[in-house]
Amino acid sequence: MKDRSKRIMNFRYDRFEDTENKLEKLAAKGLFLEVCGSFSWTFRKGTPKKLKYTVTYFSEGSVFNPDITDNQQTYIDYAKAAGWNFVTQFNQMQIFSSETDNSIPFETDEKEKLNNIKRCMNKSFILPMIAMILVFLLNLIVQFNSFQLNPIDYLSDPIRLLSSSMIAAAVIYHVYSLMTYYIWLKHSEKSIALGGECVKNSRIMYKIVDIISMFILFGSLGYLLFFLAFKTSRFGLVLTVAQVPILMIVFWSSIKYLKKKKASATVNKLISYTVLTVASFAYLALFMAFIMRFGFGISNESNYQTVNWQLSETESYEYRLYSDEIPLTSEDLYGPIDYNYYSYEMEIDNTFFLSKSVYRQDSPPAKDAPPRIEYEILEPQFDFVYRLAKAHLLEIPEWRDNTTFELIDNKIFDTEEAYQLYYENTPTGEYTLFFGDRIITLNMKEPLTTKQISIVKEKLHI
Amino acid sequence: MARDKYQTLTEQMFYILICLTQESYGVDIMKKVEELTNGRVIIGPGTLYSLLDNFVRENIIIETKIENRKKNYIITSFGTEMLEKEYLRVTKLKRDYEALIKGGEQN
Repeated sequence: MKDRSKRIMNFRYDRFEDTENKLEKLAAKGLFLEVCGSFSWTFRKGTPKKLKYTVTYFSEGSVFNPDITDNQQTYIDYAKAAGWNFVTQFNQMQIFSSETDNSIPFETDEKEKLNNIKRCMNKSFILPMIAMILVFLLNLIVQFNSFQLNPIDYLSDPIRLLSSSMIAAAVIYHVYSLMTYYIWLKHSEKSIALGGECVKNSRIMYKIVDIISMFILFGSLGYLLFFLAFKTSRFGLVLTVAQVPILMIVFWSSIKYLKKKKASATVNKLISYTVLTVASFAYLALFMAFIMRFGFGISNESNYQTVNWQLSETESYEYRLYSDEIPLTSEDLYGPIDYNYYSYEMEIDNTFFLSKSVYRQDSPPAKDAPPRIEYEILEPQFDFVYRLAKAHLLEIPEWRDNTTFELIDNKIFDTEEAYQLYYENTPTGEYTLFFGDRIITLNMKEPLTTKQISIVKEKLHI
Repeated sequence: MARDKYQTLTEQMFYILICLTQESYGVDIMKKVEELTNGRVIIGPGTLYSLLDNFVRENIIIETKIENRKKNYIITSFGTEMLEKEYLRVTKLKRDYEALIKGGEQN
């Protein structure tokens, strides 16, 4: 039987009483804390006994310190004299235990205790929290920008929607954490000013919110991975899932190695963060190389063959030719075509807001390439999504001032509203068709004839 | 700043400074205060460390030497002045109490 046990501990710096209670309960079950980390804590197995734990904060504490500092040793010596044995530390958090019931309380001046907590929280809790909120907000701004640029792509992409909502939930949770800390701080200050002590910060409500937040976080993460498993190749999925653990292993290995080499805390911090930054970029480069080589959005299950296409005398490129079932083909519109390099592609995205189906019959570039077609069917689930999609589809960038959308007769496609794109006053094969509950865009080689229109209507069930 | 912060001393501060009228090291102070007050005032290790650290920063005490990793401290003249002021303040409180409460009872 293993004599060590690792546990995932969800702790918060400002809720030290929760950690103390948890450790006391585990000691009563025969699990004694040995090492604590940011996520996983190590326990030694032994005979259950009653132990008292205290979680305190020491401003000089840091994971980058090569050893216990002299001041920290003095702190530990004082604790020892008062009956408290040093157990372990993580950053500024210091954990002590005592076997005696009548050991001297670790803190006997509530004002000093609060001042010390405040000082350490600013470094270990508030600053990282604010930094995380800023990073998340920046990410949300980027997401919002991508939504503004193309609301159709954004609202039909489950991964982007899920990651945005996860980030938004993380911002809310971090702001909530900061708020509860400041509320506790204000209550404690008031209590101390009236001769009382720091108030307890372990309300049942906080625990419920924590459990719900963790449930949402892990639930969304699980859904995201489940979704990626069906959308990406296995190696792509492994790369995505392994990113955070690999980078964390690199970061912590660097810290541990430099600590072993007795590098100063400043040198260790500088080198380890540099290693983390370089590793992040290297990982990103590996990821991009993988996407460029194998693609990412197409499943392994897709039915395709590759052709090595000669672009010029010296240059060639490997193209993928897919054989997806698409409802309307160039052959349907233009008659039999004797061509072996067509790629029949279908991409379907579904979300709570919008369903988007893109169909494409494409061919590698060539002067005498046969006709290519592309069409898109949008099914918005809400009126506002319909309006957003419509506005986006009819938007013409300023630089395309030679292009216009012209209204066409609704009878042609049995639409509620229909447009044809004109380029320098000449009609093109691009149509945007609005129905009551769906929108269809057609991108054909040239304007459709009456016969072709009836084929389109039949094949797309218009 | 120190004057504002330590205009009045807590019992723990008061006894720490009394102990440091003689050169002492941290753990000694903890024990001495307990003995001096027959266990009425006890100082936790966290509080002791914070108070000594603050006192050094405010020049109320100074570090004298480090023996076997043990830091020794002694009170400064500024610290002595503070202690004296606290004594006068508490004495005044005592006098006022006697005059207003005990004296009032006699009348």
